[in-house]
Amino acid sequence: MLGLLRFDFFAMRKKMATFVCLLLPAICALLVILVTSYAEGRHAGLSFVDVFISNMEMIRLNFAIYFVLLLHHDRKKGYIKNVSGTLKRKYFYILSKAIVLSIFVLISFLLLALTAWLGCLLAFGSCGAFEAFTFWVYFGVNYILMIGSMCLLMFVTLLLRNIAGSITFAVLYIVGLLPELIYGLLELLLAKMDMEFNFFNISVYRQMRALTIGISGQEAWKAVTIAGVYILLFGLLSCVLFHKRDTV
Amino acid sequence: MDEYILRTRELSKRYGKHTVVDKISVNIRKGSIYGLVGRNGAGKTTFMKMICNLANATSGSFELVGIGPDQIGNLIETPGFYDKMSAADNLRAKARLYGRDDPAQIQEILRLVGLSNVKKKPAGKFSLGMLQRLGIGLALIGKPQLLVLDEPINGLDPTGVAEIREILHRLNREQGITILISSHILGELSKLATDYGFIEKGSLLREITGEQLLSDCTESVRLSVNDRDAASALLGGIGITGITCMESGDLQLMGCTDRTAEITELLVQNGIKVYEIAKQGIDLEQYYLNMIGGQKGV
Repeated sequence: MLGLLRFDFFAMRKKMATFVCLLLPAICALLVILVTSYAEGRHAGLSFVDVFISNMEMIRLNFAIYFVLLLHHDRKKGYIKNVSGTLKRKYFYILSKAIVLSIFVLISFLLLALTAWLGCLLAFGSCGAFEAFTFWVYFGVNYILMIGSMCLLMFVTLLLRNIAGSITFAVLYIVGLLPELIYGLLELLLAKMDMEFNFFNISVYRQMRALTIGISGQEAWKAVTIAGVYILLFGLLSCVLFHKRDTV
Repeated sequence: MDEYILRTRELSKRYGKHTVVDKISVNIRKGSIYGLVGRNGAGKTTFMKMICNLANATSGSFELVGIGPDQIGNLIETPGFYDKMSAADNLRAKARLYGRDDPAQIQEILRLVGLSNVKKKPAGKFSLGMLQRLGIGLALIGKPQLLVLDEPINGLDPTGVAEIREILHRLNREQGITILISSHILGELSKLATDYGFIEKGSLLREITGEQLLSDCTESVRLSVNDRDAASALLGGIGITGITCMESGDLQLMGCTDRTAEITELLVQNGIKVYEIAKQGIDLEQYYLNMIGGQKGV
């Protein structure tokens, strides 16, 4: 497993897309600060938390696409034949990818926060008023929700085995079209059977949408629990799927 | 007694209702070069994929004797490589799996496969021959005990073919690596392999050693007569059983080179015209074609 992690980090480090994905949110944050500073001057009242939140949507989309591309990369290049066959437990391959990407998302979040903080400090003289605990709760819940949605995307990507299909799914999922459609249909189906259940309410997507900086403790725990279920469920399904299917 | 490195027991693979590999049982001797012979779609690649853990068997099993899956190097179909990375980086990436990212080992493999002079050139810009060599280099990472190579000389020019042959010979002789190799170029395969398995329509037709093949190939009699069926029946009556009909229409009799006078006399006495009778050796390709013909009940 350690060897796989070393392999994945090395392969990621050698890809241009990794650096683009890592730096793009930070660059966007800097642009937001620059434009605001230019338009409203040094007293714009923009805090680094505002900049961080404003980039969240973009970072989700960015990672969804990168994640799908990364999962397909080894298969597309055929390199998976050099790796998968040598593993005693095939599903380690998926676990390793998930771990590496989780670390990568964390680094990206931290880089975005640091860039926003430094940018605000330089452009406006202060990083704005914020409560550290509230910010870190928001940061942590957002991160776990992101990993939960990544696990869902991982499962779909492995299931479809098609780059165009997987990316389309990822984009439509992140922008909200698919969750609305899928959960809406499920609820409609239940309604036809005189039953009622709000699937949307327990989706990671809904939790990401509803997440605000001043989230209550109860809401935060609910979001973390739902994300945890997604991680376990789709992580497990992905491992089983990869293990049971032929690699090539 | 022979020491085996791989044994399969009725290994099968089905896709839906289509059986691609049908109960194949082979025994691969440690230190041998095992040539897998079969036409396109015979099931060679699928069989190799199962051995390399890249496809799951529908039924049956295989046993790796004394080695783990991480000690199998493979080059299945086309080489898998990162096109933006150099040859060294491609090797380094796989070496990380084994925790042995040793620059000296990487250089040694690059030298062995003849890629030590490509430096930082991206693998995407390699010629087909260079890619095949990179594929073999990748298969050598982790000091494998068994190399599984599927058509490694496909598309190579004669020089490239000779170079790959030399590399494989050296790996087998100097490092004792067992090689399971398939190729359509049977003439080339016969220069390499020490054992053979013949596959047709997913089934193993025959498994023989190089010595047996040599014996079978050199001990045959080619017979040209006016009535093949009558001749076959007569020859069967005197205990000659290895009779196959060649594409040319001649009969090929196996293992009876010392009985040509007796055969001629028997046929003539029974009114069969003998146009030609000659002892001959056949090459692997002809041997394989005869075998396939035999399967069709010719």
